[in-house]
Amino acid sequence: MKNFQILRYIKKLLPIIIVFCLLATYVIYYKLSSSNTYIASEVIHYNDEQAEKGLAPTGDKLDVNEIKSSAVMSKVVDKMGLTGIYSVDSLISRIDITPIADEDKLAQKDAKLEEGEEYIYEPSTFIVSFAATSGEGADFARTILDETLDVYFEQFSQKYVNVAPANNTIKNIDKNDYDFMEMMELIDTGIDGTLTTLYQRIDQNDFYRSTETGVSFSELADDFNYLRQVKVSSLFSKIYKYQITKNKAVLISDYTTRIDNNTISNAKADGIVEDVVTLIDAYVTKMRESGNTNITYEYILDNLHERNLQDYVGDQTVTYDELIYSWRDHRESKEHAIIDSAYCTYVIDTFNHCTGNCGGECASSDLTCTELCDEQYASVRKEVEDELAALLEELSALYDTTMKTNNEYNKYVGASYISVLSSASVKQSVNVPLYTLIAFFFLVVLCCGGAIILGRTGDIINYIFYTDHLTLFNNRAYLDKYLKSKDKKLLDDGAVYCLVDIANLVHINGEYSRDVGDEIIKMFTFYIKEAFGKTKTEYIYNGNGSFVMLAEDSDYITVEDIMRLFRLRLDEREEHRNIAIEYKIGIAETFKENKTARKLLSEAIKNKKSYSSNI
Amino acid sequence: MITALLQKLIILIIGVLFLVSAAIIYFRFKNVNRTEAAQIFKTTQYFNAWLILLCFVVTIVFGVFNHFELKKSVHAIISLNYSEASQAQNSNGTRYNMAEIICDEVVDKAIEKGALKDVTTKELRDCLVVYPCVQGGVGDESEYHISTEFAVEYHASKHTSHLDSENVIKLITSAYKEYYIENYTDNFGLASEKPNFDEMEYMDIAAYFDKETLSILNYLYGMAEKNNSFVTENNTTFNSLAGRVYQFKETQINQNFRSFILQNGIVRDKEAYVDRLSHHNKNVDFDRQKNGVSFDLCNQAIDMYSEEMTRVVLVPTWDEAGKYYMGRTKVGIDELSVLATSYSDYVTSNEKEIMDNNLLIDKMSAGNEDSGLHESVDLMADAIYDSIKGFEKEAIKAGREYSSHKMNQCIAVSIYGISIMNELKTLVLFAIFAYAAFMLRVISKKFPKKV
Repeated sequence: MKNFQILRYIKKLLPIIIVFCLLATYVIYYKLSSSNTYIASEVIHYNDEQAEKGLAPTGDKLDVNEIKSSAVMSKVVDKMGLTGIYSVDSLISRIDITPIADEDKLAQKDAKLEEGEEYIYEPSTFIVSFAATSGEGADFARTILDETLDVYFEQFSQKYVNVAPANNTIKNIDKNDYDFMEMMELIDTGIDGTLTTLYQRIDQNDFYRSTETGVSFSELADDFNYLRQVKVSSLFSKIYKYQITKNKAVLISDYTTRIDNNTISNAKADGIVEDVVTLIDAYVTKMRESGNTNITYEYILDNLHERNLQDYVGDQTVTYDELIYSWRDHRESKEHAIIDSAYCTYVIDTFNHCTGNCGGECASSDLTCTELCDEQYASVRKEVEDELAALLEELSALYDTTMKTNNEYNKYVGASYISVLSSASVKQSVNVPLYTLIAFFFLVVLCCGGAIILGRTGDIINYIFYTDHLTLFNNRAYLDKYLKSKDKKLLDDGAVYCLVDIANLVHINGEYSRDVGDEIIKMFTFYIKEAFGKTKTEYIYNGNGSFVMLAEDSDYITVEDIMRLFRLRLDEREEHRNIAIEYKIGIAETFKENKTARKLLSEAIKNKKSYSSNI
Repeated sequence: MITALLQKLIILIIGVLFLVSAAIIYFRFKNVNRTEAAQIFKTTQYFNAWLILLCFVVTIVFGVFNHFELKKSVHAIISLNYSEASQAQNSNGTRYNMAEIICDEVVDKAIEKGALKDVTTKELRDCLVVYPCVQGGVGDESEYHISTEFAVEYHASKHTSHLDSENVIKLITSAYKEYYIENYTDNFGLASEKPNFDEMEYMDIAAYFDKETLSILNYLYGMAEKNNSFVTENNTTFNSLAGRVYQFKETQINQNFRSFILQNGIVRDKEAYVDRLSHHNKNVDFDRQKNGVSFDLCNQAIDMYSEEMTRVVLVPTWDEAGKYYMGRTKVGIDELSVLATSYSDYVTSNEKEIMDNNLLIDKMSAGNEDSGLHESVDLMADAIYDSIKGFEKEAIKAGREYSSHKMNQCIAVSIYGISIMNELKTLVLFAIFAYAAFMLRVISKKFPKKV
């Protein structure tokens, strides 16, 4: 069997290995590219110091997962016009939020906890990522992430910072069947609420000006105040003066019911106030008895406190204070209800008032005195209706501006409470070129291994089926295979076939035994190999003492010389000198007319010449 | 469209020629032996003048189509020049969003500005791509990066092939610039059209003037807070301008205009105005009563607060500067007292409002009906209105000067067309490929068809 030579095996299959590896690498590259994902990531940091305690600015628990809440994502889907294309859940599942903990603070926390002290630390920096498929591309990943954080910043501010909205509560008020007085009261209350909210904003940031609307909160407050002072009060005045109502009876009933309700709630409040007073007395008595009230002005706490302890914003009200406040609140609501009843009485009196022009008819009528006898009533009512419509239009425009300003303020506050440490960057989840290169090398190694195994297996098969075990030359089956494989191919120049036949082998076998015959064959084998030396030759033992040598890159004369040398060596042999050996040698070289293996072999057979070695 | 087709067709023809020639060589290889094959390759004339000429002509034709194709793709760089950009914010402090560069609003605006025909917003938007010129990472703090330069790429599609690419990208960047300035730079909302003073009560006109001047003052004080040392081209600062507006408000509106109306009782509709004030007083009086009751109740609550429960504890404390002081615990009466004070303020404010209104009612009731006075007030109102508008314009001019100074035009845009070097590189590569294909064709012809 041939020697184990790794390079020989690889060299044989190298072109196939290269082609296979290149094709397989391309397939891997294509698969990796198509299954690859683009991950857009951004680093955000909550600036509020409460965030490190895991709290939002309002003191509520800070839940970072709100970034991927359906409230945020549904807005993103709407904003990007992806409704019906992407489901909110599918986008949510692609968002990932990873906290980045401050190593120093973690170490500090561990140290404090080891000492048995309480220390709260929660990471306030996060990586927010969104994964897009290769089909969607890097831009999609970046845009979704950008829009998500945009919406989240605004919502964060709305929910945890700028909590009081300035809602338009009077929208379409004229479309409902409200009476004029009720409408005006609702408008007045609405403006009052809006002004309270606006003043809160002014306290927070008095010079904030929206770039979209170009107005500040104080300008909006001035506008609302101006409308209230001029138009609202003018309308109120006209409604009172001309007793303008859609239905006097319903209006009077409404205000009478309000008075009744106030009377009932006041009676209830009286009872509560009495109970609270009893509780206050009992509380003080108990505190006195337990000695808790014996603190003198000289009492000083032992421990030194930092200023931030005093600044801690939280409910520090003690029970006694709560009782006192409760007393005050109940009394206040009672007293305010009394004043409200007085106001209702004033309204009722105003609309029941008889100017004297109707001759007392209004007392029993469903119409007011002015409506009954003032000719101007209809035109004034029309005027009021028009003015009211104009006022509502003006207020709606103002509310729209307020909403826009507030929305921008939310974005502004959101961006000041959460900062971006690193803007959106997109990376591929798999480094395709690197993995493709690794795959290529892996395939090459695998294929080379396969080639070695196949090569060695081929050697074994060759040895079993295509090797003559006496001479260790290729056997007849090999020659047949060789000739078949060369059937459709042309031989290259320099191909020389040489035949050596032991002519009297049968005779030798018969006279000297088969063993001697075998030894003669072995001797021929040895001399042939020795004579051909390092030439590029394939050796075949065709059976019955017939040898075929297929030399490449050679010529007739060289092979003839080799045969001459062979004959010389045979004649000078040391062994079996007593046996006369007859043999034939045929040599043929390729030329124009015989370029196929079979033709060349026939030519070699034809050219056989007989020789004898008889020492 | 046709140029793209022809450009691809040329590449296809050359590619097919290359492959066919290679295939011919492969299949005819068995008709020659190795020596003959080697001989063919050895004897081939690799520098053939005719082939070089043919290759040159084909490359020139390809180059022309390629040039037209390349012209369909341009890109621009948008740089954010204001200080907040480094915090990933817009100049108004809101979060910066790169996607807005090619948002529908911007694309719409670009189409409108350029009067682009036969193209929809979506079609044009699909041809645009935006990405940061430099992007950081999130793996490590040292990789963090806030992008302030963004590239916008335009690649014409079949729907937009009739548009001039450079013009489109110029329109997009210009529209974005306008969009940005509209939405994110300092803005002072101009008052809507002049109200009809003839339909307004004189005191309401005074209130309107007051509101308008306050609005200008608020804008100027806001700008002064941002940069109080900024000097405009007219050598004024925001504070000096605000001082002038304030002075005008106090003298011209509050003293001259308002006092003149008050003291002469000038009113358009005396009855309606007095009714309005009377009604307003009634309402304010209800509020006064409520505030008064709340004040009294706070006082009563303080009175009934048990003396034994008012004990305080002294707390040794150090402040943020590290200095020691003695703090004391708060008790309910502290809060009640503060509350009572604010109610007292409200009561005083209500009473003052009622007194002011009463004064107005008295003055207006005894008012002068002289029409000459009305004319004088109308003239004064018009003059004051004009002055306010003048201040408004001056304030806006100063604000814009500041914005331009601070933000260096906010955003800068550079447009990049076709790179000659890139074009040449493509042509050289194509020429090599074409020559190789022609040469392969020549060699393939030398291989015999049959043995």
